[in-house]
This record gives sequence, structure tokens and C-alpha cells, in this order.
Amino acid sequence: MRALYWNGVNDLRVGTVKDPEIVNPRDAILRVKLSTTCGSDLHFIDGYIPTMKAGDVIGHEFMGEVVEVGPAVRRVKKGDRVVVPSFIACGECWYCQEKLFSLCDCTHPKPELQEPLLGYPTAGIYGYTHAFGGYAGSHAEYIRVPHADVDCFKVPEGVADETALFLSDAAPTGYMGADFCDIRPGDTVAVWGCGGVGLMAQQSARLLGAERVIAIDRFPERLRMAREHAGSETLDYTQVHSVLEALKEMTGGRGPDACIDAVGMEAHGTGPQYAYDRVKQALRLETDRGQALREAVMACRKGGTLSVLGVYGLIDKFPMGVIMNKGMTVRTAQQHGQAYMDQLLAHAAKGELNPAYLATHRFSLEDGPRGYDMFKHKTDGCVRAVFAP
Amino acid sequence: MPDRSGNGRPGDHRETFRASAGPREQARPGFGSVGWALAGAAGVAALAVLGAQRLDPPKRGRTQETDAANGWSDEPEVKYSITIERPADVLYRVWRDPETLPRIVAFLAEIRPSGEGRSEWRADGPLGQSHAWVMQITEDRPGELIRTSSDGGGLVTECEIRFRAASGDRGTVATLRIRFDPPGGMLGDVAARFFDSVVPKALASKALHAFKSLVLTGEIPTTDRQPAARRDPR
Repeated sequence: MRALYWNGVNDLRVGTVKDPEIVNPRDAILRVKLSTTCGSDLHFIDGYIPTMKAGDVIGHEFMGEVVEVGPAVRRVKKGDRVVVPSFIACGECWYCQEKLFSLCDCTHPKPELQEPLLGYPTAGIYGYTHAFGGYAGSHAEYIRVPHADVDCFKVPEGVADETALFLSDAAPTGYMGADFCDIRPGDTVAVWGCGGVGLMAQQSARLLGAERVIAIDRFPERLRMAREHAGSETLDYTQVHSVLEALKEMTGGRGPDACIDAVGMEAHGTGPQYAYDRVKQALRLETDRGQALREAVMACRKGGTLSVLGVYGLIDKFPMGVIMNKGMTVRTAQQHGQAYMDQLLAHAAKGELNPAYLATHRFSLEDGPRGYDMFKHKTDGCVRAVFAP
Repeated sequence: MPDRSGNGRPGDHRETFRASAGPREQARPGFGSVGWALAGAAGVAALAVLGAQRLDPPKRGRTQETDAANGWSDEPEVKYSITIERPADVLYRVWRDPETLPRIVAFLAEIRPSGEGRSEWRADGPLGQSHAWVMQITEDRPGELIRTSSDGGGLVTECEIRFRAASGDRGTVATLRIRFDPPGGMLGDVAARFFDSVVPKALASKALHAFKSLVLTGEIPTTDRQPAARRDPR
């Protein structure tokens, strides 16, 4: 089959690889219908996250049709149109029972690589470094899905492929980030980043009852999407002297009740702090540029919640003292998609959440490297490049 | 036959080791645990080594066992525990099944059960060396402990699994203790050549995570036989 693979730092290629096969009894094979780029892919494409191997098939946000199931699969059937969360969960361990699916104890084939980094291994993920399991990714014609009965969710008729696609990662990540905020009536939620996850977090905050949502970014077309699709008020950080002051002004001096970071380790910004991060990252003295996260900590109201969805490695100058002295609650996770999928599919079926607008650019798999290039540089207003293998 | 779940082609090993010196040489005072994240170019082994070394700074008064547990050391014994959400008798039964050990330590050695609690172990090195030895169950307490010892030689001389109830009604704690007796030198050196550059503690972790998956789901997570644009797809 054809697949898009990582050949080295900033070197993506399309090539022919063998088809996946049923290896374990609970596996299913999907014909991938749609698979999309994710901002977190850029971290290993750019070389900021290690443990990729040349030849790794990438991609972790996808939907497709079941073409084969293993002997222990009961619920999922050949021909089912399904969406699959990015993290692989077994459904049996304590973490899965607690609905902390991305922390599953049973799906990491190489725990010895991740344990020294995190203390304990997490669940495995498709197409995202060997420290996260080394599973083949979804930018391919077919993909093997372990624990199919736990991880394949049937898409109801009436929910389009392009809508279901983003229920694989962007939507559950954003929804979880909003859920972390324990939103109460009257709350204001500020969201840093208007990419796929940020936009989904904004819409989710609305669905979960936020009165006001404030979106922070610098790209006019993304800020427009935030206004039009999520009903957010917007703040272009390049047009204000201080995001903190602007947010204070917008919230009557109180600050947002919750702040969601949907940016992560490759934040852009302005001023000396951004220059500091650029230099340290270039010298490999830190992996992360953390301006969005620092701003969110500072801007959040006293006793508020910081919800971190951005992907980080090691960050410099993390303002722990601000968090402590303001009595903030910090919540964060890789997405527990399986915990939210029923709600998300219900919202999608009722038309309350339709993330299809994120698919601004569509490519064949053969054009994958060009798709990533446009996605990375946000060329032509690209929010997500979607591949139809 | 189970596959050895390695970290690359056999020929990669020396390259990986050479590369691992890089970030360590670059480390400076105050650099601290940043080391691991910077191991990108240095490969998987460096990551594991840096992780073990830099995230566990030396502590006063720690035991020899802890030294061994944290990574490279000439202390030839490692111990690792995992909590599994099933009763001890279930865990005991699965561990006692002659098919289990060959599956969960497939990355370390090829094991052939030969009846009456005996099993033949064989580990192949990347340069054509091969070691074969026999392990025999020497202590067997149902629901509690199984100890296997070698006939003398061998890279692994003792392998013991012990079960006890976990606190909070969370199942059973399985503790694996492996004693290595590597021929010809420091354990780290031998383990490096024989066990795909994985630190000894990680061997026990990998085996126990595989055991947990097997008990709870009936299968072991794997990247074997998957698509990839390289010779060894794992």
C-alpha cells in the first residue's frame, strides 16, 4: 500500500510499504478514508521530539471503514464506518476503568523507552514516535487498530466523514480541555490558539455552558473562524501591547475564570521573552517555547483553572510561583477520547458540533509532504490538511 | 516463534552507542534533566541511558539494589513491581502456563519449555555469539511465588515472580526479580551487547508490562509485522 512516512528531520516521503495484518486477536484492519495533520506532528517533523525512526508511517487522527477483524473482536463488524481516538486503550486496566484512556497500562509495546522519561509509561499512540509506542500511523491506505471493540466507534448515518474525522483527536482534545475547566454559568474561558484543537475547545466551552469565550491568535482567518464557528470574541496578540492587560480589560479587571492552552511547545509571540525562547530552543537548551502557557498562567483569575492541551517537553521559566500564589488549578492530559466519544457523536448528529470546517485543504496521499508544508507554514489559511488515501 | 522486539536492526547497535556519548559530553552543570529531551539525534539507547542517569540524581544512602534498579551497574540483580487488576491465583496460573514466559520475555531470550518445570533458554548477540542454558523451577508456592534457577551458566541465573494483594482492593502486586550472571565482565557491558541496549531494570519492566497486558487482555502489545518503510518495521 502507499503511505506517508518520516525519513528524517523535515523530510517526509510517500512510498510503498507492506499492508498491515491482524497480529493480535482483538485487532481490526481499517481502510483509511480520511486522515489529517495535527500540530503535534510538527514537533517530531521539526526534530524537537526524539525516538522517530526513518521509515515510520505517521498520522494519528483518522476515520475509515473496517475491512477485517481478529478472532476476539465481537462488537465491530466488517463494513462499519468508524472513527478511532488517537490513543490506544485496552478497556480492561484500572486507568481505562477510570476513563483515563490515554494512560492505559496495556497498549505500549515499548514501555522501557518511555518509563525513564515520564516515570511510568502511557498508552500507545498511532504514528507518533517510539517513545509513544512506535505504532504505524494513519497516513496510509490501511491501518491496524488494536482492541477494536474498545477503540472503534461507529459513525451514525448523517454524520459526514469529514465531521467524524476530527472526532478522532481535535474534538475530544478540545472537549476534554473545556471539561477540565468545570465551567459554571456566567464563566469566561480564554483559549490560546485557534488551530483545530483551540477551535474545538472554544466550541466545547460554549456547549458546556461558558457565557463568554475569548480566542487568542495572530492569524486573521483563524480569528475569523473563532468568531464565526465558535462565537468567540477574539484577540490578535500582535495588535496589543500586553495580552494580560487586554484580557483584564475585557473581563472587568477580574481575568478569565479558566484559561486553555491549545498552542504547545512551538509557541509564537512577541517581545524579549519570545526572543529568549527562540535562542534557547535553537541552542537545544530547552525544547519548548512557552510564551502562550506563561501568558495563560498570568492572565487567569485568582483561583482559576489552567487547562493545558498543548504538547510540551521541558519548559524554561515556568511560573510555578504564580500558580501557587494565585491558588490556581492545573489540569492537563493527552486526550481521553474514548471517554467523550458518545457525547461527541451525539453533538455531531444533532449538528451542535460540526468540525468539518477545519478541513481547509484536501490532498491525495501522494501530495502528503506538500500538505504538511502548507499546514506547517499556514499557507493559504491552511488550518488542517486532510488526506484521502 | 516469538520475535525479539528490538530497537532497530542488529547493525544499528554500535552506531546507537557511539551516538549516545554526544549529549552526555555536552551536558554542563545546571543542565539537569534536560538531557533526555536533547537526545533526539542520539537515538533510543541514549534516551534510555540519559533518562535513567539524569532523572535519578545520586541520593545519599541508597541501597545497592537501587543502584542496579536505576540503570547501568555491575550489581547483577534487578527488581520491578507492577499492579495487575486481577486476583493472585489468576496471575499465578497465567505465569505457570508454559507458554507465558516465552511470550513475555521474547525480546530477551528464546525459551522452550521442556517439561517438569524445565525450560531451555537461548540468547543471541548481534555479532553471532549465542548463549544457551537451562532453567528449572526450584520453588513453587501456588498463588504466591515461582522461582526458577539456572543449572549454573547462563545470562539469567534466577528469575522469581512473587504475588501479594495490592492495597485498596486494586488487584495484585506482581514483583519480578531477575538475577543476571553475565559471562565475561560488567553486566552493563554484556547487557548492552545482548539485550539491545536496554538497561537491565527495563528488561523487568518490559516483561511485567507484557505480562499485565496478557493477563488483562489476552494479548501483548506489539509493533511486529507492521508497515514501515524500512527492513525491520518494529
